[in-house]
Amino acid sequence: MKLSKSLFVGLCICAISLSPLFGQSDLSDKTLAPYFYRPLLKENSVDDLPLRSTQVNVQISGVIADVEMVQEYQNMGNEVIEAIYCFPLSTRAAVHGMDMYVGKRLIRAKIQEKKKAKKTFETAKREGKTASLLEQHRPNVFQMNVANILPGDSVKIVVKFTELLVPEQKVYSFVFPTVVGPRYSEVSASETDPSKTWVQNPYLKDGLPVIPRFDLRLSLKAGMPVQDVICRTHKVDTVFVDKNTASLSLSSEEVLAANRDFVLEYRLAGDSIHFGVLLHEGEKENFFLMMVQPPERPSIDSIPPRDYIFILDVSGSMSGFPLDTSKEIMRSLFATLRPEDSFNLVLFAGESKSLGSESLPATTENINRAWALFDSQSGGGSTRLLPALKHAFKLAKEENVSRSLVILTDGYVDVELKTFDLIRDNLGTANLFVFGIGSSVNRFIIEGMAQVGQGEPFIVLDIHDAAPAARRFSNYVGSPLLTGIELDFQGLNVYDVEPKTFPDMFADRPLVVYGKWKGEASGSVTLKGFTGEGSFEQVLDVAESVQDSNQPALPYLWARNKLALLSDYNELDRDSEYKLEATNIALTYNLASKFTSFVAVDETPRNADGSFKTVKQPALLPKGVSTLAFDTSMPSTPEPRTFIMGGGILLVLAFVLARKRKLIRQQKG
Amino acid sequence: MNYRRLILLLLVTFYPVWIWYVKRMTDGSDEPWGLLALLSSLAFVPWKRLGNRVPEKLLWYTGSMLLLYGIGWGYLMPILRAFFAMLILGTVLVGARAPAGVLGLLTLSLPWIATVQFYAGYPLRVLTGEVARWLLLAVGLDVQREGVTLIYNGLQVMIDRPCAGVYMLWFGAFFTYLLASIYKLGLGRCYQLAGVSFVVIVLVNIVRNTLLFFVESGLWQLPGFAHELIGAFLFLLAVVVLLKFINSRAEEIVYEA
Repeated sequence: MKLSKSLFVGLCICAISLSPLFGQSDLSDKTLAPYFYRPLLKENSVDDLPLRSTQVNVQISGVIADVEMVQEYQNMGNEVIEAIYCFPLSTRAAVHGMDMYVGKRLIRAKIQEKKKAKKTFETAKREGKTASLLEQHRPNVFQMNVANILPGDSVKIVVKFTELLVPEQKVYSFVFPTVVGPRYSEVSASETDPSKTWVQNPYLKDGLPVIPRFDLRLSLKAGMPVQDVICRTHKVDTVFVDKNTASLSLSSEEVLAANRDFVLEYRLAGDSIHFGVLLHEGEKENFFLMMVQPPERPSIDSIPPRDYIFILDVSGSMSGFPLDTSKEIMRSLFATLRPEDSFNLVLFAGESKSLGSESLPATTENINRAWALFDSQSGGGSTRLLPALKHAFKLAKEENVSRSLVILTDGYVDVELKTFDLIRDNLGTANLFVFGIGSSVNRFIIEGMAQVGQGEPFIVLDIHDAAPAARRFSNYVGSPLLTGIELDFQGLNVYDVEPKTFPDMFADRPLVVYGKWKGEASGSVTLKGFTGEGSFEQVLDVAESVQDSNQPALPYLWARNKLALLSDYNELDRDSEYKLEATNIALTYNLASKFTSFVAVDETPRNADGSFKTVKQPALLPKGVSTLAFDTSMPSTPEPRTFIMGGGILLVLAFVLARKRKLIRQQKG
Repeated sequence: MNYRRLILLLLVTFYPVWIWYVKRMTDGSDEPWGLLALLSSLAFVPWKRLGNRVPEKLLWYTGSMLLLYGIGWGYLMPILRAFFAMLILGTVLVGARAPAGVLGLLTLSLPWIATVQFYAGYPLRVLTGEVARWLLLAVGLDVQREGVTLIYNGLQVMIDRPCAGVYMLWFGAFFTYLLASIYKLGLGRCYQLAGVSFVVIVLVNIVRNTLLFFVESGLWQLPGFAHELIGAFLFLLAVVVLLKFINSRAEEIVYEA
């Protein structure tokens, strides 16, 4: 019996030990992600998609674009609603007017200090009056609130803005952004102040039936013959009225295509650009805008070695096409590195990691290593830009080598001002260049980082832009156009001139100066600086260079430029003097800003019982952005941390053991 | 055959399980909390008995279980093979009469969290969301549920993966088996306690999600640490309820001197 028992156990053990060698192949630990299908909501008494259409009318005259954007809200439900819609505008837009149409009644909006405007709106809302409020959350993100839209109502809001078109590489572009991309925020709704909850913007998934119609009509009067009028983002129908004038309208196929920036590009014949002086003589003040042509880019034979830190966004919102484009850019950038250059990579999503603790020589082997690391990324997780920048700033640097930081991101974060402060405080003598990648990037942070980083932004809309953008970057870094820039006015009585100082010019674009003047519009302006070939000087005779002597948009553009310098890239809440100045400028020149809002109130109370539902109009998901961008953006209720639960258990156990010991002692006793 | 030899033979027999176990513990797919359960279980193993002869009944039991394990090897997913192996080894280590809590701790030492999260996470989140919605309706909030998202007046709060309560369930089970080991509970009573633990933790997680809906939707303006505090308080409450439950049956428990 003993033998058989041992034999039995032994045989079992032998058979089982060998079974993995002969058995069916190991069932792998592959996981197949679960998914759910979300059916359409039906029979809802609340119209939760009240925005019916956005109609944009653009008049480009010379270098000024005047835009009217009409948003139409309709309430097809049974309950009164308040509609909230978060939308983007150009970072350079000077928003100077708003009208509200309730049916056919026109109510002109007033500009008010932000808190006062909010109060006016809230009071009107409580009193059952139809009212609208336009607030700026970021220079390129605005929010429209329309209260008391009654069932069957149609409310139209007309927003008017103007902006200056500055050519780059002799190419003019007009950009109309259509959607605010999903922002990653580290702050929960409970911790943030209510004015920042715009980050929690809802998004429509593909396939929902009610999508706001989008239409854009543009009239281009360049004042000079135009050529190469191209829109690569949307299909447009173009009609040339004469050689100076073109008329464009969005093709009917694009009526649902408000999921990407509308970008129109054109050139002037002979690759010329508008430069010279625009004037406006007002009742109290006269304004000027001066555009000075930069010198030609010098060809330099020997460029000193440089150190590049590439900071690459590999978060969830970059998954798919944006990351593929990033890889294309990096492939081109790696190709431009020379063996005497050095470089490092910082990859960031929720966490940051670098290729090495210090820069590596740009040898083929190191470049291959870096490429292998970056190429293995597929995109996932949150977008923690600030820790990544801190990480990059801490990386060791050789002395006497110029460093360039190069960021590739979609900029879908809500920490713009903190980012600007961090760059200002840590950049030192380095330059910072930013590639904004995607169909609807956060242009505010992309342009802002480049501005405070004394570098240049590059917007890369699709993969075809990747290699040209990388080449442009290489040219810029290799040979700046003009450094040590000074401007000297002679014989023209100017004041309030901005900017007061000029960073080095990398890109091929005119130098733009805003200001006010008194007396005669005469005299001259001298632009001085240094190119790679030596000192440079250019004189502009004011009287001879006047392009337009009465341009009404100039007060708005001057004020918008002043506001940008005062508040766009700075946290002004700490500094009440600047805040007061910015508020006064915005109120004086009728501009929506960080501190002022437009509010329109229809004085007839219409909603008698005062009850309503608040509806946040969902936005379309920007083209090419994966739903992975949302993994961390919605508030949730995670469990307590494990060490807290473990600690709690230990405490209770200590109590249990002490009690048990006592009971045992009692039992023994 | 004595215990030491049999245990050594079993350790060798289950070598594919140990390779898999080490891989899973180190590949980052699961937090290694299982090691805490493993170490805790070792404290309750009667090591002095290792030189004793293995009773005949236990030997037959082991052999039969090994046969089942061998037959099932090709069909079972790795974690279930490991569960089987741990059950056989555990029974030999602690003996059939040993407290069932030790067996529970040994089986809990497997990397369950990711697996449970994958298979049961979503249903748990749906259940939590639906019951939380009833509770919110009861206090007058017209909350809708879409999938695992609660929606109120345009505000959305998601019961996402870390909200399912799987970690709370794991720690609840850990506490239960530890208590069962300390109180030397038998199999029936141990699993009765485990069942109570499961129900209590699921209920507590529903209450937690309901309260945190107010915080996360911004209906309650509380400081950031309140989130953690509410979760910790409710978990501790669950632990105390479990302790009360077992103490209410204290008169039935025989303490060993």
